[in-house]
Amino acid sequence: MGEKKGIAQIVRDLELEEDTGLRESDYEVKSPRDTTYNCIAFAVGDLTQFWDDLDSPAGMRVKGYYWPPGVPGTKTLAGWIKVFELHGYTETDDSSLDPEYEKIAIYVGSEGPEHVARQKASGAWVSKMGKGVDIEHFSLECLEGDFYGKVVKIMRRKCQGGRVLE
Amino acid sequence: MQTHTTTPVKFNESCLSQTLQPVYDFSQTTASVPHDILKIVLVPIEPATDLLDKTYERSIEVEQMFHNYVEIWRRQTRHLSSVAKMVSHPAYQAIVEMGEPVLPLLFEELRERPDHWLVALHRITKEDPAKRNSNFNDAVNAWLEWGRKRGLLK
Repeated sequence: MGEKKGIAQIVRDLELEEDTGLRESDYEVKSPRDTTYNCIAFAVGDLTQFWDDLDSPAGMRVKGYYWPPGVPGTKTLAGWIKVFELHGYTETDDSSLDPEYEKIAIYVGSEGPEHVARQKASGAWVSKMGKGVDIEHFSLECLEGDFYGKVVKIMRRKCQGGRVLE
Repeated sequence: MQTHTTTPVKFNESCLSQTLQPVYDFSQTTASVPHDILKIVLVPIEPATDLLDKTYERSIEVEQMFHNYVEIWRRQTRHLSSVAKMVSHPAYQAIVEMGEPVLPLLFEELRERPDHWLVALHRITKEDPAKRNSNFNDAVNAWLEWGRKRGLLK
């Protein structure tokens, strides 16, 4: 029997496949399920907070959630873009791998932004799936569909002496 | 109809502060509003004060209904990233509408499988015991402590 490889290499997430239409070959699970952070938190490298404004103005929110002050709401694409601008990203049309840039891709459905994925140095993408697992996926298209909508915005930031997130 | 009584839960705090709010919304005031309506009348907001000295009997029916709603909600929101969407789900709304009697079950659920119940707890109790700038885990712990102090969680 070989070395224990951990959850990432031995687990499929059937619930995830059921909800999103992912196939086994599209992804690898990289973490246990976790309700404490979401995709946007994961994309900016924060695994300690759930980033959401609860569709309420600051000061009126139930505590336990984080949304940057002065940024438009989570229901708006403008809000998501602003979050990444605050982290040094600018808009681009190119989702291909460029060793000099870190990239993120925002998925938008009929009711607004639904998901964001982040590109690794290998060219693969990583995503936190709602309240579920983190995955590595091998295309952006494999997450497109009824559940998360389509990729409508790519953003990038220059790597400064190596990637900030990996 | 079956009525099964299991663990009675009793609040053990003697009082909570009473909040007052104006009956009339002055933001809607216009020149045509009759003069005699322009006086402030204060009445108590019900929820937090009403939590005192109540004993909730946990019937099988309430527990079954609660757990059914929980499972539906968990299954249908497990891959959403938006809390606003999660809490607008009909099963979540139904749990909120079950009101105070569901609090002991809600606290147990929060302790056993932490999930986004903070909004439901706030809507039912009108309280928010978490500190400013709490992250999700901190807020869950603050709520569990709040529930324990009131005898809602063993």
